[in-house]
Amino acid sequence: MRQTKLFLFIFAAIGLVLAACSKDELKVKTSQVGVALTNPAGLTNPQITDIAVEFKEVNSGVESKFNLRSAAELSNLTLPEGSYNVNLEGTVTFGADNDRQTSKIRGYKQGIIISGGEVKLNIPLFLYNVASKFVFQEIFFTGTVTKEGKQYNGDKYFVIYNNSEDTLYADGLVISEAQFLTTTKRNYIPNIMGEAFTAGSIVMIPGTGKQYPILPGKGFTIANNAINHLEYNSNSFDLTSAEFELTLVGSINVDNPNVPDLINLNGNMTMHNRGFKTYVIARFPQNMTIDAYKAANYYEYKYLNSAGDTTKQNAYKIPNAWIMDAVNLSVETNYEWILTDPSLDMGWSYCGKVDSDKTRYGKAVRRKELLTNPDGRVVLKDNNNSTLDFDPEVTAKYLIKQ
Amino acid sequence: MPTFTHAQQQASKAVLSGRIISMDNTSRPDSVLVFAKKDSVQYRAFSNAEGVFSFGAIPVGTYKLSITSMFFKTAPRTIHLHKDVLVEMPVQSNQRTLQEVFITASESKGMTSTSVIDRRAMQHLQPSSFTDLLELLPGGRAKDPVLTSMNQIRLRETGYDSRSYDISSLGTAFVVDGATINTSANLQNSENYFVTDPNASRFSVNKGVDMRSISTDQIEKVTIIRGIPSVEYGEVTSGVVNIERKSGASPFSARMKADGFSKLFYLGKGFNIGTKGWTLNTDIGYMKAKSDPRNDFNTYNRINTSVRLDRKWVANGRSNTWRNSLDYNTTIDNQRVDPDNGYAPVDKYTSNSNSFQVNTQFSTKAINHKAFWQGLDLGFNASYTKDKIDATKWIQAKSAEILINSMEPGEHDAKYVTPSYASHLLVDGQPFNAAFRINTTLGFDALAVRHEVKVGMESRYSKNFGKGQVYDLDFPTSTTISARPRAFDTIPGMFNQSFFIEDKISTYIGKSKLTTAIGVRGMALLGMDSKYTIANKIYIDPRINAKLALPKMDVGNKILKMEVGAGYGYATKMPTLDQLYPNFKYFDLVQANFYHNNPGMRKANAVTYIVNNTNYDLRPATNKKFEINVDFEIDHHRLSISYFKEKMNTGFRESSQYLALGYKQYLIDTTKLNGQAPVLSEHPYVDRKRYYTYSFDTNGSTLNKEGVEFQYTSKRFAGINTRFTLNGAYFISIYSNSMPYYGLIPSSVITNGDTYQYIGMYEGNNGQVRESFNTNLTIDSYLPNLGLTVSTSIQNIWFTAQKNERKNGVPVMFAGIDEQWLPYTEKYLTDPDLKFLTILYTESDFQRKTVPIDLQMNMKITKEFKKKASISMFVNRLFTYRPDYVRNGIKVLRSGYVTPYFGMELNFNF
Repeated sequence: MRQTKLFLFIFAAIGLVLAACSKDELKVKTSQVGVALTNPAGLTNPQITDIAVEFKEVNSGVESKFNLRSAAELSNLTLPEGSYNVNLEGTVTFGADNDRQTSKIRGYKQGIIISGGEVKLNIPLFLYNVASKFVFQEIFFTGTVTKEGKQYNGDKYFVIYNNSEDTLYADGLVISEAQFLTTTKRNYIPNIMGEAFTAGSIVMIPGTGKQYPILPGKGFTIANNAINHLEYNSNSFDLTSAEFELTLVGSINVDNPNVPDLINLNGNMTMHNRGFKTYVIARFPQNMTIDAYKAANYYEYKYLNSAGDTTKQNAYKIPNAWIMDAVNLSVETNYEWILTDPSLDMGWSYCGKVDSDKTRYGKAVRRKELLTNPDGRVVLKDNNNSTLDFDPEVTAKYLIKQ
Repeated sequence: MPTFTHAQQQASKAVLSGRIISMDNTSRPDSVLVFAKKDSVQYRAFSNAEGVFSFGAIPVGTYKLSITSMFFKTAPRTIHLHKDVLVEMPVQSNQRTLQEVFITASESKGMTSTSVIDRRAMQHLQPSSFTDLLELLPGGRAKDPVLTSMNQIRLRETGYDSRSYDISSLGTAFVVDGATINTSANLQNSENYFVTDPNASRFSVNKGVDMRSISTDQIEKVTIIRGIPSVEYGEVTSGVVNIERKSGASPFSARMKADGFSKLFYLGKGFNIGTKGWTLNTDIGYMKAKSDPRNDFNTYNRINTSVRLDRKWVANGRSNTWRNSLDYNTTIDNQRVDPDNGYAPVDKYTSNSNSFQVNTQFSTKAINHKAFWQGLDLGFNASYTKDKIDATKWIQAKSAEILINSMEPGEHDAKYVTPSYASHLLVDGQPFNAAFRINTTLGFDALAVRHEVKVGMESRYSKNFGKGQVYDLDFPTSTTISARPRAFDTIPGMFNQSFFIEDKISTYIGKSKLTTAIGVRGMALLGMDSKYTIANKIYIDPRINAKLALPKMDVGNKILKMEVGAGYGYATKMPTLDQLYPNFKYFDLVQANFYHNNPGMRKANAVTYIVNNTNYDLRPATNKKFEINVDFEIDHHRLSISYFKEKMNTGFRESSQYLALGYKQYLIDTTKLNGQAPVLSEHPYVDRKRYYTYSFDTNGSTLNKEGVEFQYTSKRFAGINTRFTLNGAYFISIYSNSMPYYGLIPSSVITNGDTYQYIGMYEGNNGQVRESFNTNLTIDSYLPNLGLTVSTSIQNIWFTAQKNERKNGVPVMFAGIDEQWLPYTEKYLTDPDLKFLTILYTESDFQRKTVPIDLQMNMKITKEFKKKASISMFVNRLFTYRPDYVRNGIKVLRSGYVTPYFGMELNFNF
């Protein structure tokens, strides 16, 4: 009897010790994080409220969200150790005491390492406003595939949407495809991404200024070739109803006489069909001619490649201030970076999960609907974050049987 | 003693004597043991320094004569002895002393730097095709066989994979049993007919001989002249590869080789026919290779067959050789297109080549070295090849594309491309070559000098009788095709006539022997249209080689032999049929692509231009070669070093030419159509022009080769029976262009709504200097008792370097679409459009870039079984050392898993 009690006592002791040990091993290491915010330049007496900040751990995908009322509360957060991307949304009031303005602000930072007990970080903020503008509603860049499995690409298109409550004019609207690739990150010198977008091909909608009105809540299509593609590929569709057509000088320049042609400023807008590029909509300042634009916005850059050689190239740039909307595109397996300043677009969308994904043909990226007004006008979601604003891999609208 | 008996006794004996004549002149037939056997009696005699032997008076009867020698062999022969007789016995050399066993190339003792590769070295190397033998040359290195691409030879250079320097392989002559392989009439080309040419890696026009089609199993010996060849050889700029095939009786030999991606089979035999010195050799070989062990879709098959009837005999104080051969060879390249890039069930490509060759060569040499008339060589050969490229590709129109198929210049309405169809291209080439050569040698003494004068001439004819590129014009193999069908048989034949004279002068300076070969070769293309500068003009190649053999010196108790030589000469190669008669260039500019929604109202119109880009001024390419060489030999150790410098600035390359082509940009007024397709003459248009560039053949390439080659071969050390061979080379190759070139402004630049509105003229100095330094150490052990040959080769490239000639990227002149040429001054560097004519370079483009050490170790083992069978195995890259290196702060990765290449083979002799 004494032996049994002894054994029970020992077992209990061991059990306690073991329980205590394992509890220690399971405890996750955290760090104290102090977040400071850098306000956008030029604001008098800014006050930041209604802050929603989200920390996403890159390796595990775990998200830690905090909703705070003021910037002061950001100075003492607790987070598990790891490597994070931070996303911040909030409201800012600024201006003179008798004339306070309110605006939305955004902040974004990538690749933050949290470890070692105490971390201090600084997130730069930028003003974000839902102004009157055109946005990309749908980008169809993959083209279609014939029943024999051959690529067909005359049927690519953009759909651009008037997301405001006023009638806007499409005359002079500029659409551009990026010069670089979202799948090849390079250290370009100079790196102008904070001020301007490096453009590859640039096209412009013609018009005197008031020739092409677009009503609020309505969109228009710019097709590569506005023809009935079913004559060439039974898996394609009819684009004769497109409002505009690209002039593919130097490529297959098919002209539908019933559809106005866009003007080419630079390059050949054939649209990268694996989706490794970024597209922007911009408007040049009033009265700026194409030649004046080119003269003022040419620049040369260089980079060091993997063989140790320096390459020098040239391109045109579009200042960020002129850009209305930007959409980054990439694929998961090859993504390396976005080609725009985060204030223009901090995310990216896709068709296809891998490079040359065979299932990508006939699919497009389409902007989500945010809400429908009582008068029936649909407002599309536009938070300058294509990861959240777009539905990836949707069937191209012309392929959907009505 | 009865007189009768004495006379009888006297009549029953006769003197049997004779003379051994070495057919190859490799060494004197001194002290050769000759047997004469009758029934059970055997007589012996030894030959003297002149090869003369005598048995004295022996009983009459029928004898069987045979010889035993380490150096010579001959078939036994039967002699009927009833009176005094003098027998002439031609014999062949039999190099089988241990010191004579080489499994590497050996430097010949000729007038200029030459490598000799014999049968034994070839067998140990275990080659799949001729390309593999080049590993043995100084500067060579073991490389995995690549049998699904054309294999070009590159002697004495670092190598640069660019068409502009193909003159190096085009200018290397391949001579098989006296017949040169003539590639002038090879026109097999399907470029410009496809978006992606399926034949691209096998393309061999203007590149010389494709070495993968030459099997090594029939070869007895290869001699590669790297230096200045004798004027007897023509159509050469780089060097000469001389292939001698097996001739003479031999047992059945069979060979089977397998490695990771190929299999090879061979069977051959030589027969003695009759007793007059006739032999018959037959060979048949088959090889099947893939580009990659995992890829069954990209293959190469090769079949070689040969029948050779030779005769070697001695008559009237001359030794004669008459060789005749009939060959039939087939090669088949096969590729099924990658399903991701094509429509797999339909797309396919094959390239077949079936060739017949007939060759007869007669050679007679006086046995008496002092005779005035020394010999005569006479040869005729002809070859006919049926080449066929057969390619099918599924075509899908990418949009409403216009069908380009006009064979006439001018404006014309056009149809639209059929949306999807299977297109087919046939390239039918039938090159035919015939050659005749004759030369005679005279020998005489003048004062204290011996002269051997060789005079000869050679005629070559080439023509292609094929139908050329054939396809249905309405269903082209590419919707952006820039070429049209072209028949090869409309091209005139080429007749190349040459003559040469060479004097080989030998004299003694003190105890040293000085031999000088000085010669001149003249060549001309006859019967060409006088529009061509080259027509009927004689081009002269002078060449001189001198060799001083110093007297043997005593060093310790060994004899040191030393030879010094030098040579200088011109080597010229005529252009090929493709370079003299190129395919025209076709330009089609779309003037209207009016794609109305109503199909009945559509209109497509284009204007076609046809340009004859023949360069009537094209001249032959001439290489000026210089070399110095030194050779030391002591106690079977040998060191050869040569320094060479070669300069050629007339190499063939395609240079650019420009055109401004006009077209009408129609502005169709849709209100005037009345439901009909527009009649273009009723609509206004704007006259527009665009610049185009196209290529034409010129002599713009500069190829300068300089370097040092060396080879040290130790003696085969007794006891371990091992020989050490160290060879290597340092090459500097300069590749440069002397022609200006025209560059279009980038297509992204749009001026007045159109592209290609500006053109720049740039200096052509886009040269490159490449260097490489390599050494190969081969340790081979030959153990005849065990029947084992083992060799280890440590092959090391110490470094390779590359440096581009500095350019500033700024054009010298430019022109707008008005075709007014202006100098490109500084102010244009900031012009919004013209600045795009400047090509942007950075400092790193002109740095000397070096790649450091790359070492590999290879092993080969051959085991023989009683001379009847042998099994061999080889492993290349058993061990490698290729470290990573840093350039401009970036680490370039090279190390990592390198897969070895290995294979095995079986040989039978029965």
